[in-house]
Amino acid sequence: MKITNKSSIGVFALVLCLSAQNGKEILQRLDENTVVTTSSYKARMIISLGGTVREKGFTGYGEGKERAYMEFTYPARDKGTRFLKIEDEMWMYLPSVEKATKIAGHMLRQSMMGSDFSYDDIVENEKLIDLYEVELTGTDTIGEEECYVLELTAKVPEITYYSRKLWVDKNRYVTLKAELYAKSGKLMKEITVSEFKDIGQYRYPTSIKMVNKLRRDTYTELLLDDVELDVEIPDRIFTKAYLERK
Amino acid sequence: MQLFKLAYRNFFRNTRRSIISGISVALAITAIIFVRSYISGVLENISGNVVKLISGHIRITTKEYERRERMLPLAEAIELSPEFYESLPDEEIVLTAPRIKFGVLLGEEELNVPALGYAIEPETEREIGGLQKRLVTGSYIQSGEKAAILGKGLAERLHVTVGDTLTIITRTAYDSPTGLNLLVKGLFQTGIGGMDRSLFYIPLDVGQTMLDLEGRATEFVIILKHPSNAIQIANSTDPGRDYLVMPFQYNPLLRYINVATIIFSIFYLVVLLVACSAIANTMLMIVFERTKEIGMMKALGLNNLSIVGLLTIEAGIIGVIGSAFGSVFGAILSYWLKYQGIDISMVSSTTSADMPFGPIIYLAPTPFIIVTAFILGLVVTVIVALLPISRATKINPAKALKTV
Repeated sequence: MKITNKSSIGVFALVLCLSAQNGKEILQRLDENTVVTTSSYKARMIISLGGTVREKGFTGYGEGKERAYMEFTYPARDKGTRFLKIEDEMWMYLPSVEKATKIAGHMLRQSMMGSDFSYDDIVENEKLIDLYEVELTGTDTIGEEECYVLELTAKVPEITYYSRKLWVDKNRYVTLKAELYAKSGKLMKEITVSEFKDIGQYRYPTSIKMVNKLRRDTYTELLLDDVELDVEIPDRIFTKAYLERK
Repeated sequence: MQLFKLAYRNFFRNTRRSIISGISVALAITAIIFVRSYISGVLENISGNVVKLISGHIRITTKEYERRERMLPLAEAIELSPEFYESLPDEEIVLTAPRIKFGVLLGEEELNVPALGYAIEPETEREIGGLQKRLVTGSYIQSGEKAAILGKGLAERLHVTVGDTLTIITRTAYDSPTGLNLLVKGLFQTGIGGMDRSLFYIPLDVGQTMLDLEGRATEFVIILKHPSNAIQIANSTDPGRDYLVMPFQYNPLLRYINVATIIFSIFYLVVLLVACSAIANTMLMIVFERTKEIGMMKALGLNNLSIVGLLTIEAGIIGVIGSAFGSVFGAILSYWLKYQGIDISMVSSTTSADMPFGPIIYLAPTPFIIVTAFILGLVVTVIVALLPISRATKINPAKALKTV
């Protein structure tokens, strides 16, 4: 009986070890698909709030996890609104104010332009493996796709979402669905990805639906067009002078 | 009748004692009138400030806005349509004022100073809240101009003054970031700390454009001819089932008045107790001082009932004269402070915007307060005198005559 118990513990430990190993490998492959050196894109945000649907367009550039730039192109009311992120700081330029204003840190977690995405969500480009401990907890099916289910728990103190649950496509190593949780365990956001594009070495998400569970009757679809990855982006784009240009 | 004569003579026999007793009663009554008038003044001040600066006599919002007001949900605004205006009772209304309340972040380099903005119709609000009179420097805003008047404390926090440009950043009703460069036209001071440190006003039309709220407002304030009819008029006003029509008497901010009433009632009771104990003390002193005299009267054949009657009449005379003087002094002091006011800006400058209290408290005495204080003084004097008087009846004449 004693021997059986020891064996069970050993097998259980081995399974845990393997699942952690597999979880890490899966997450690494996922990061390889989505974390890019540089990116340039045109995007549309379709925001549905209480039955009213609005569309906003913007162009964006990103470089690693440090630098990002976004400029809204329509509708007329938002045209010319620009954002610049350099490391942990973010500036906003409003045409009506004609100068760049620094956004306080906590505002980065607020809704961007009335959407379900926060500023942080949009410019996120950091390897999840560097931020979270991962555990492979099982498998599931999304539509017709077989998925690994990963549970991620933060290993760094300052983080927007303390834990995440990811459904990762077994064949393509892309996230099809994600649930983002606060430290209290409350579900904050739910993401579903319906389209990907193979761009160079990456399999990049181009149609993402985000539902902010803290708001009522709302969702936002982010559609990325003209995505270019690992292209050269002029340094001047990531400057305050460019942000404040007339 | 004989007892009255005797009591009257006794009152003037030791004038110093009578005057001291009378003064203590008078002081107690003066204190009671002052405290009651002050309490009424404070309550009128709070409710006046709530009506002028916050709710009007009737405030209309959407139900959803009212529910989430702390979050300042601009999307839950009122549609200022012809149908909305038609639903209002014309005959009782003196003024109407649509307002938009919005939160902003301000700052020179970084947006880190939270403040509360009101987009208002400048001319109407001049009539309602006397906003223009509260300006300490600069001039008042006009419709259509991209300008603001700021609380003096807020201007100090932001290091801006009249003539400077103030950049405000906020969100539209659809949550898009928006902002404006505003000319600082004037600085106001209400004396209410929370308001002076965090409020600013801009013209309504400018606010509506900036916040994507054309033809809308987050709240609609009504000033009535007869404020006491507010509840009845609110009940008969029906702009639509999504709207909430709230008379000022039901304003949650006035819950402070209930709290204040309880606190002041305790304060008033303490004053009343102190006043009563002062009167009781004086009467006790009178009886003890006259132990020998009472013993002599009993030895000469005066019965207990007559002694009680005599001393009670004496207490009554002190009560009437003391209360009369106290009522006159109290009335003069309270009516003087009704017009002069008491400056409490040192206290009110530290209060929050949710507690619109100060800066000058005008006492609110009424004939009722004065008459009841007079009656109270008389009744308390007689009642508290009964205890030492009843002891006087138990005095043994032989022992009493031996006392020094």
